Formats: sequence, C-alpha cells, structure tokens
Amino acid sequence: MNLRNIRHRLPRLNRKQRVVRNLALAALCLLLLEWMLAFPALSRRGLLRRLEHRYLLEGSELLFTSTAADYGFDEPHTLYARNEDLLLTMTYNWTPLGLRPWPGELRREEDGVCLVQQQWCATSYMAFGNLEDAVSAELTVTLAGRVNKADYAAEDEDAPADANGLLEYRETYTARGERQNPYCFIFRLEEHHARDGILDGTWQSMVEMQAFSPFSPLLPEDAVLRLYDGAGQLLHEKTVPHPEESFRIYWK
Amino acid sequence: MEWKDWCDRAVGHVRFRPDRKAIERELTEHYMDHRQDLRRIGYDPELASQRALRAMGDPDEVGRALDRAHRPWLGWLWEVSRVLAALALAGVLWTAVWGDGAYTVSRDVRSLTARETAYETDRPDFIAPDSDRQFQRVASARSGDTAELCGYTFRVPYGAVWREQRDGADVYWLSAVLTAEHPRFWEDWEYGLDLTYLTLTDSTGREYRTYRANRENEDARQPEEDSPYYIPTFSYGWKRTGLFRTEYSIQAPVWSGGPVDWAELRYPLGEGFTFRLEFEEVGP
Repeated sequence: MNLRNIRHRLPRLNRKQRVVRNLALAALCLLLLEWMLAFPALSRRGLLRRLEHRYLLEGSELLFTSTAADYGFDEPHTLYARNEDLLLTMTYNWTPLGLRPWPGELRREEDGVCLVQQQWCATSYMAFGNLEDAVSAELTVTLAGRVNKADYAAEDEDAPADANGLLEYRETYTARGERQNPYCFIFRLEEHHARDGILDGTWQSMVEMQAFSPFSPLLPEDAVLRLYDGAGQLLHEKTVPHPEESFRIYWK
Repeated sequence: MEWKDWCDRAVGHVRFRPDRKAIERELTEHYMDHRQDLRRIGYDPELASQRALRAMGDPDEVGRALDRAHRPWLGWLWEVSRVLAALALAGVLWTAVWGDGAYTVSRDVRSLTARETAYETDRPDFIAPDSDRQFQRVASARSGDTAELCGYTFRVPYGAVWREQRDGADVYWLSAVLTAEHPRFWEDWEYGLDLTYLTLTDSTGREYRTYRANRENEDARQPEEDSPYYIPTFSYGWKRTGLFRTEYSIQAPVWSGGPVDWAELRYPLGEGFTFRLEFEEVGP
C-alpha cells in the first residue's frame, strides 16, 4: 500500500474541517514540545517563582542575570535572587517556547554575600548578594598547590622539592572588583611573575602560567573579600577558607 | 466572449487570491470536458466552444458564488493552521532527535507507570526484592497533619520501624513516606522540590540530615560515627505517583538501642513544616 492509496482511503475534509484538524495537531505538538522542554517559563519572574517553589520559599527578590553564551554551554544563563539570608541561583537556556530551567542552587550566607570561583579556573571569582552599599571591592586570595619537580624544574637543582619530588607553590594575589551591577563584583587575578618580570623562566612562573589556564594545578584558599564605601572606609570583610568552585554559575 | 475573458471575470470576484489559480484550473477542466463532449457528438470546434461557454452561465454570478465558497478569513485561517501544524511538528521532531526531549518523555512515562498502592508490604523499600536480609516491622505510625506551602500540600501517611538481625544483634531502620500534592504539575516535572535541607529527629535526640546537606557541611565530612563532627545521614528517594502527586521515601538507620518512640520530619527554610510521627508497636 503506497501513500497515495492511504490518502484516498482517508475521509475527504472540507476547508473548515482541515482548519480544525491542523489547529488540533498544532496544539497537540505544542503540548508535546512543552513537555519535552520541561515546560519552559515565559519570563525570568516565572523562573524565579519556580526556583522559590523548589525550596518552598516566598517573597524572593530577583537580583540580576548573567550569561556566558559565548562559551557554548547547554544552559549558559544564570539567574540570581535572594531571600533574606538565602541566595538562590538557577541556570537556564532560551528555547522557542520560553526559558528552560535547569537545577537551582541555594546558599545560606549570614551576611548575604557569596563568593564563588569559576569552574576549572582558579583566577576568576564572583561575589554576589547584598553588595548595594559597597562602592568598591577587593579580593585577596592565596593560590597554593604541589606540583611535580620533574614537570617544572627538572634541570633546576636548587628548586626546593620535598622527599616525594614535589614543589610547593604558594602565592597571594589581590584583585580589584569589577562592578557588574549593584549586586555583583567580578574579580580577575593578574599574573605576578609575568607582570613583575623578576622571575621569568623560573619554575614559579611556569606553575603560575599553568594556573592561569583552564585546569589549574593550584587551589584557592584563605580568600578575603573586602567591601569599601565611597570614602574608602571598610564596610565589610568576609573570609572564605575554601572558595566554592561553581559548576552552575556562569559569567564572562 | 472568449473562454479566457469569461474565466478572468469569474475568478476576479474571488477575494482570497491564493485560491484563484486552483479555481481557474477547475473551471477550465469543466469547460474543456463539456467542449470535448460536444465535439464527440459532432459539433464543429467553434460551435462546441460557444455552446460550452454559454453553459457555464453568467461569469459575475458564478464568480460571486465562488467568492462565498472561498471566504478570505477561512482561507487565511487554513493557511496559518498549515504553517502552525508544520512548525509544531518540525519542533517536536527536532527536539526528539537533537534535543533530549525523547528521553524526558520516556523517563516521565516510566515514572508515572511506577505507581504502587501499598507502602512496604513485607520489607523496607530500600531493600532489593531479591535480597536475603530478614526484616520485621516492629512499630508503625502515621501523621494526620497536613502542611500547605507554596501551593504544595504535604502529608506523612506512613512511618515504620524495622528490625534486622545483623551479626547476632538487632539493628533498627526507620522509614517514612512524605507526599507532596501540587496543582502545578509542570513545575514539578523535571527539577521539582529539593528537600536537601529536610531533617529527621528521633526520640533519642539524634538529628539526621540528608546526604547532600552533610556533604555541603564541611564539619560533617567525618565518616566515623564516634567523630565529634559526625552527623547521621538519612537517604531519600522520590517517585511521581500521579500527575499531581510525588512521593518521597525516607530511610534512616537507628543503629542500636532499640526502636524509637517518635520521629520528627522538619523542613527549616521559609515557613517550613514539622511532622511528628508517634510510633506504636505492632504484633509479630
């Protein structure tokens, strides 16, 4: 039986009936599509409501959204909100039917300020939350880790390796915050050795170079975030022993 | 009047322009059939054309009738409905093939068909059906309370304490079912309620947290029970038991010291909720 035979066997519909058939088919397909896309929200407010319901909260405040669409992630946009001392984030992407939500995250911070490290990148940080009163911000963080001497200083006999042949790298960096909006600062560390030029060619500069590329061998520790007012007076200081590496917050 | 002029005049009355070509084709076929028939019975070509044209009638009258049959609003609606149906069908196919839509639908259908009618009939839910481990239910409870938060209605319809013989000693397990009913099924579809911060307290004063909450708490990363930082962990799983209902099954180990008298389930964020389960012994 070919397609023509099937077509002849189907009842012949007039134009009105065909309109009804097409609209019903379109509605059915749209419903199926909505289901396949996990019922996308129509607006960011809708996303926030869904995020609130996920954690059984009410009265949250939408702070801002960020995007890293250039990186080609599946869900490159992030929504940030707060609810008293809770900070909420949710990643999402655009679909033809609206904003498709992905898992949300909730953080409880007594001061309402959260500091996160970018995924796989020990040199980029974001502070978000109750930052409206701060005019400027500064982040001090130590990058530390052990690396194989054979990889970085095979010919340098003076390099201070331990019994296992590991070199310990530890360097403290300070970065000024780049204001993104009233609720967010971004911090990008700068290379010390390359900038100073005093340690060119040493194992420290090689390790640092590696740390500033993705998959850094170093981990951040003892991060101190300082917030200042317009007169340069310290408003707030927050110490984070081990900044969280965020897998679900994206920024450029 | 020539056939072409007649046809143009009749078709000119039809306001829905996309149909004009098809109408012209149909009228021409009709005219040509009649003309052929006349030729077949012996009319010469010119007379056959004249007679066939006359039989077609008044072009203005035919044109107005055709316009009534091909109303513009219906024609445009039909065109729009075709485009809509084609786009929607293409969207479904695209999402099914290149997105994860087919997976989403099949997973949801599987979860909807996994409904059960009774809770833990002969063994705790967390034990595989083919396991040799022997359990005995020693106490059960249910809370008659309901809690309503953000459109969800929560209930705890079931709780039990199970005894297991392990290396000659009795160990106990606590299990409970928390149900959430919600009118907005679409919100709970893929990433629904997150009960990471739910806590469970029993009559011995021990407070359990979820595995994930403990993982986020650095102090609780000590696996040893005698560590001062140790926080007992309970596990929970969920399954959708209807379009508007999700069930969370909760299990906590009560390692020793006999069955517990009561347990409290507490959700601490926002307004939160607390359910208290008073256990009553059940016969063997």
